[in-house]
Amino acid sequence: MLRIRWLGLAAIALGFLLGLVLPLPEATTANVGDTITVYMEPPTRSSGSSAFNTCGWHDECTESGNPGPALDWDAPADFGSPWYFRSWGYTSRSPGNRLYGRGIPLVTQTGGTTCEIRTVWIAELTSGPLRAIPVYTHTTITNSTVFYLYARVYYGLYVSRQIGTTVNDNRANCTNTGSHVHEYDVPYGSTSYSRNGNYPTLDTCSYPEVPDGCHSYTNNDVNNYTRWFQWKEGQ
Amino acid sequence: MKITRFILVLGVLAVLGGGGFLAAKLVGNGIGTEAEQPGQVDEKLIQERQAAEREQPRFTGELLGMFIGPSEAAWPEKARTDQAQLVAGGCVGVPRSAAAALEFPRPLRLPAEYVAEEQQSATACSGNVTGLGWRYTATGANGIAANISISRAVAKALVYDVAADRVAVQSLGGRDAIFIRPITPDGLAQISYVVFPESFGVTEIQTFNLPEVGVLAVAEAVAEASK
Repeated sequence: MLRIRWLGLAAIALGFLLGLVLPLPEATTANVGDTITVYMEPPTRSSGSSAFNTCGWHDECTESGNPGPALDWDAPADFGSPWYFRSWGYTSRSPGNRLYGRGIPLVTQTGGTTCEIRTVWIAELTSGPLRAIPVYTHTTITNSTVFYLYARVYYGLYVSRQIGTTVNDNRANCTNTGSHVHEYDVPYGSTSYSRNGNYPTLDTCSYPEVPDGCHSYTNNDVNNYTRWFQWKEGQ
Repeated sequence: MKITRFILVLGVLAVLGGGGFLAAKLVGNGIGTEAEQPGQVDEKLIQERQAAEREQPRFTGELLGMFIGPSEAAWPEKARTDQAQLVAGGCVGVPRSAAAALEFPRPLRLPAEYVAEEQQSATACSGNVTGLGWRYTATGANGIAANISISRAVAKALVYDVAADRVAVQSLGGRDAIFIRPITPDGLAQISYVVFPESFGVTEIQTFNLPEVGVLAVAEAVAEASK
């Protein structure tokens, strides 16, 4: 009996020492160096339907606007239409079907004389660094709960989550021509990014001035990604 | 029977060892501290701070001739009527040259770490020029990008849903200003505002993820440009 007691004490001491020396076992420790690629999808209308692109790659969708990182997406009905964080997550190697990150909805600009802007910070799951910053203008947040992001090899994993609704933010220093989401990204850190050149330019699609070049895109088709982010896990 | 006892002892040892391991992690990692590594995002910390702020009484009232409330419904009736009339005819982008009256009287010079973004059009609502803006980015709290929006616009009432204890009137860059500080000095994932009342309306600074010291540096530069 005494021997068992000593063994118990030794086990506690050994565990304590190992705990000080070894890193905490985490879900993706084995995945350090994996390449994660996140393909962002059009943020409006119900998943699987056709989202209408009302302005090609732009900074500002006006006659005097310039080419830039944003696409405008028509949100049907009136202000108050839902908008979504949508993405396909890919890992570079097995095992697939796993968590790779968190989506953190945040208010980045609100009230005052300017437009309403929201973001969803994409942060890596275990070590926690921020990896990507997709941004959504003319929106509010109705669900700020942090959500998990999944990835898989070859076929990817799709996430579609309603974050909020569109809003009429016509103000002294904000123009909004109707219920829509102005979607863009802020390049960040060592994360690579690319914007899908298959979407029209500002010259060919700046609804309603030049609507001919504007089209609908199935919003859960990975080929219709608006932009992708890519990084190596844990690095 | 011997094997059963052996397995039982092993199980007990594993539980005790595991407990020791976790105890060491609690000690070694300082769980419960609020330290953040560069680029790391602790969403629990962010959300706890914001939730605690939302529990506080909201600011509603007039300061330096500007009315601030958590919604337009909190504004005086005249401010609501003026706002409704301002946007009744819709707001559109117009060339910045049309908004010369809203330009800063002196050059706007932010410290070098603030990077200017593409300048957008001025805004006209119901046919009248109403706003002109500037946007900057910087490395903000925790090494993560910060956004800075500066706006000179026709407005005497603003919707800011903020805790009353974040709001103060103070002199910034030699001008009286309304300063709505970040929830915590690091500004992590938080919005902050500075308001300078103007004869035409307001010069407004809005920042996201910028530490308080950065907000004050931007405010000093804006005050200098707007004198």
